[in-house]
Amino acid sequence: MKKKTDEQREKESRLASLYDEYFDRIARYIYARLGNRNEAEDLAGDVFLKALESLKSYKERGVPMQAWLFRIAHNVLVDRLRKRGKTATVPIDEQREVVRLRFFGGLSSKEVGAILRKSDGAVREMQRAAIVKLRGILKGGGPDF
Amino acid sequence: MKDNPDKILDECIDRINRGESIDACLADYPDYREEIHPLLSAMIETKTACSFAPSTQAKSVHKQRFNVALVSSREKRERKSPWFSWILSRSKLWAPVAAAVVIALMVGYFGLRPSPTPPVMVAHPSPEGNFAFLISDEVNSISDFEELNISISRVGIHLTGEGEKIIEFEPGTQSVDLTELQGSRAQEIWRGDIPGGEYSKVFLEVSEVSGILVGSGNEIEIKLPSGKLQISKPFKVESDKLTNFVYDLTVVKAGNSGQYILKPQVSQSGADQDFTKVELKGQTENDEKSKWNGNGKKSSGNQ
Repeated sequence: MKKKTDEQREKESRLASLYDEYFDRIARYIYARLGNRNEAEDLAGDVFLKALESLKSYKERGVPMQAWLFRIAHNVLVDRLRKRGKTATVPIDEQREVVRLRFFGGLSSKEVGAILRKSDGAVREMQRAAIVKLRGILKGGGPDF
Repeated sequence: MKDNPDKILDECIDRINRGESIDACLADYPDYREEIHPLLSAMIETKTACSFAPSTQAKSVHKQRFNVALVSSREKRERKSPWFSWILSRSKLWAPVAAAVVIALMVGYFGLRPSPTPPVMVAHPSPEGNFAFLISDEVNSISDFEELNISISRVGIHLTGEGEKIIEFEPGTQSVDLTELQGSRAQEIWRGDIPGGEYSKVFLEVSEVSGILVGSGNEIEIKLPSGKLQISKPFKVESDKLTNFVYDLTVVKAGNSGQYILKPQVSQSGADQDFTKVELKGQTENDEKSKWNGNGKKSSGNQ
């Protein structure tokens, strides 16, 4: 059986190895919602710091670490929107969230399902419905995700 | 898959995310082309409209913050002593006694140490990095072995001077067969970027050693002086130049006991050693001869 400190060290190394690839993806995911470059970069940095702080609670057998990072990114984003709107709750359109995670985060449907706590099938259905809507939006102007 | 356009659309989105074109994806599903092509076009248009790449500078600043937090988290953990809190959680009667013993031990320990442990920085692999770490084997009793595999879980090097720290990395190739690395033959197990500067010590953490004696086919136990094999061998690394550090290990027979001991060979280790680089197993059976010094046989430490 591995020591807890070894497990923690392994998780830290794994998180560090995801940094280069996933910093960009997370920043893109946040940018797609906020539309502000600096804010997207700062929040992407915060996501990794928060992940490091909560690494002890991350279980290897749960969601993959990259999907777990996006769950943190989702929470960070909601917090920021809440502060902006000064409201207690922020409604998140799940179809849009699927598009953001799939297109900008580059996650698989299964990983998106793990974040949104939906089945792969439900994610695929939402994805199709969202893209159909997108076609209409694109004809009328730039999308706001 | 045939009856499920949602799954086909999903697969195509994955493939486009990996860099394939719409046409390449739909070539596999010609019956669905008409239905799915416009949806995939909408996807690409959306991605393009919201395309954004974080600046290199911002990314680097945030990565530095992350690395500092990582080092500080490790230091904090290493400072924590689990048995200390265990003792204190026992009976209240024993707590003052246990605390006094622990304090006495800590005073003794830190009092004897010349300086506190330097901070640890984790280095990450990069094929274009300025530092390559290689393993070699000085010929002693290695000819007694058919195979001698060692597993290296971690390597640490000690950066001296103002920014004193320990640079650690996990080898990309963790298991090497020393019988393949005799004499000047060396295998690269890690390459990446590390800070330029003067380094003084190198340690290897060996997690496993197993050897098979020639003829017997039996695996025998090989002793390690310690799980952490450390050598003091000063060397210099420049940030814009490749430094190859060869860490030489050797297996020696301990008297007539029949026991073998694996230990570092300081005189054959260093950034100034000549070596013939051996490709990783499975890539090629031929040694890669030196490409840098022009003698067609060996390469030098600093390129």
